[in-house]
Amino acid sequence: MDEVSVLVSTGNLGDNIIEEGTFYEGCKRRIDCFAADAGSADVGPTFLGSDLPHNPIEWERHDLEIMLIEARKRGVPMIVGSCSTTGTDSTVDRFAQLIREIAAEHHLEPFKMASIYSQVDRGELRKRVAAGRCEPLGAPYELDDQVIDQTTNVTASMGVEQLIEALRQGADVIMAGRACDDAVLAAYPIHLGFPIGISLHMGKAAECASLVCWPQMVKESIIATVTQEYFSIEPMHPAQAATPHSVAAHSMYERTNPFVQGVPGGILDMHASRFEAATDRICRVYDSAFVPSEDGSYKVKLEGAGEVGYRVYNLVGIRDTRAIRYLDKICEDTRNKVAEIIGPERAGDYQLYLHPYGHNAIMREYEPVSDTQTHEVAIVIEVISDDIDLASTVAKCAKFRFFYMSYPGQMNSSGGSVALITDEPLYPKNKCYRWTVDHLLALDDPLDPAIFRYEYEIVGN
Amino acid sequence: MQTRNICELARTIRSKNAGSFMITLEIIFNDREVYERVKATGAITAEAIAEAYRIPAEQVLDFMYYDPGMGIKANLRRASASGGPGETDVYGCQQYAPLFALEIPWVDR
Repeated sequence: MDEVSVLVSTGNLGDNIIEEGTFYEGCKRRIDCFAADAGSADVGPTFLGSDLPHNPIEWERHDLEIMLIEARKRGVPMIVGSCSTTGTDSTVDRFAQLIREIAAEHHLEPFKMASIYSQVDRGELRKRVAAGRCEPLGAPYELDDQVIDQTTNVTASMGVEQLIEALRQGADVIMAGRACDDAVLAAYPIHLGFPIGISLHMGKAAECASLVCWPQMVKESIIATVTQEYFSIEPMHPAQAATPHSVAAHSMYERTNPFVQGVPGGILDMHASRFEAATDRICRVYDSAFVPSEDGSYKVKLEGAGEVGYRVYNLVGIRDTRAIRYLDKICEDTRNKVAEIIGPERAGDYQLYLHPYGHNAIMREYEPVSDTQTHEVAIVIEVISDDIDLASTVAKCAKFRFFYMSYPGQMNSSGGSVALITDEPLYPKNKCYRWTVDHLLALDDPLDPAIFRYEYEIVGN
Repeated sequence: MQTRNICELARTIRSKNAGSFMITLEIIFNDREVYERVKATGAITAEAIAEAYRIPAEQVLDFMYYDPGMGIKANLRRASASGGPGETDVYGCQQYAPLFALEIPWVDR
């Protein structure tokens, strides 16, 4: 095989649906593998922490269905990583069940499916921490028992090694837990013996599908092809082009460094990468290199989130420009009065945040504008507590104090002097979670059976 | 001194999460000549970005020019991780607006 072509149709399977026009346009070509990343930590910690789905299941089903049918028609692998956003064990089960249902509905010929689980048992994690196998990655603190106690769910992000193992076992369809997005696309080319660096850079460039092309479009298909010398990107949408600039610029996206990307077992080094136009719509990239870690270590990223408590919101609006002038003071008065009324003995039982939209709610400590010019603002009152009644009480107390705000030059006399969007507090469906674990775990064996578990089954007929 | 505003010269100015504890800022050009001219003025530095955000320069991390992508990049550490208590920009995607203040010395040729 001189080259291997992967059809990439979505940068996040299930967070909306794949555009079918360019998907089937791509299917007219030779496709050797269908691959999609379905995960993201961008959505926030709530879904990993609660292990609840982020996406409507009908969108996930749509994408899995069109990919599975076309992959089985050709007898080529289908690989999905980071199932249903978070890649916990339950998300792998959810996607595997969808695959079974779709196969039955379309009477597909039997095929072998691998489910790869990468959720990390917290007891196992404690052992690894005690053995000194963990270190901080994004989190600015060490992982210890206290952090693990505050964590509900943890996953390990697999690289290509764990996916290739399933391919070696003859899997036609792989539903994987949390995985590096580039690995999901690079696994099959590397399995076939194509260069690791070129394959990984292809994965990194193509993982958001049509977002790597210009003008920007979402959920449109691209074909990513790997050869011994280079990889290429070709959009299936006729109005899009993959250019040296669009592909290089995408290397910056959501990364702190476009030249170097840490991957399990080493780095992807893109200092020497050359981006060349093969045509006005197809870009080729040469000379990207995989550099194994100097000490031979193999480290995977751990992602974990933990529960903080119930969260209650109130939303109050102010149109009085004379009040807006004293917004900081009004917020401070509110905070002080709430603290006084709830009392010091309960001060540690709740967290109160005031978010003055129209002032500095979005950027807070990074907001350079101090002099608010707007004629109306909204203050979102956010309260978090283990005790939902206390959270409701504090949120109501803050709302009440805004009603009775006072400030120099006040024209409004008293009472009910903020605009409410609703007369009741707002309760999100889920509790409040936070990111707790963003660390690396060193493994002696990439296939460490306590971290990565495999289940194989024959699906269909 | 004649200047041009960065919004007249760049194609894209954006911010986004780079992991859950970091926000990455990007200014991307679509014209090689414009990019090289902006770079040559030396007007965009970690210090200039710090000034736009009114923060100490040492908080602007990993400042770099990325020639293949015609881009300028810098990172800011989040005060608290995305989506947790009191946090208000889960995707980190509305943290770029202060970059609009950047003025580039520019004489029309």
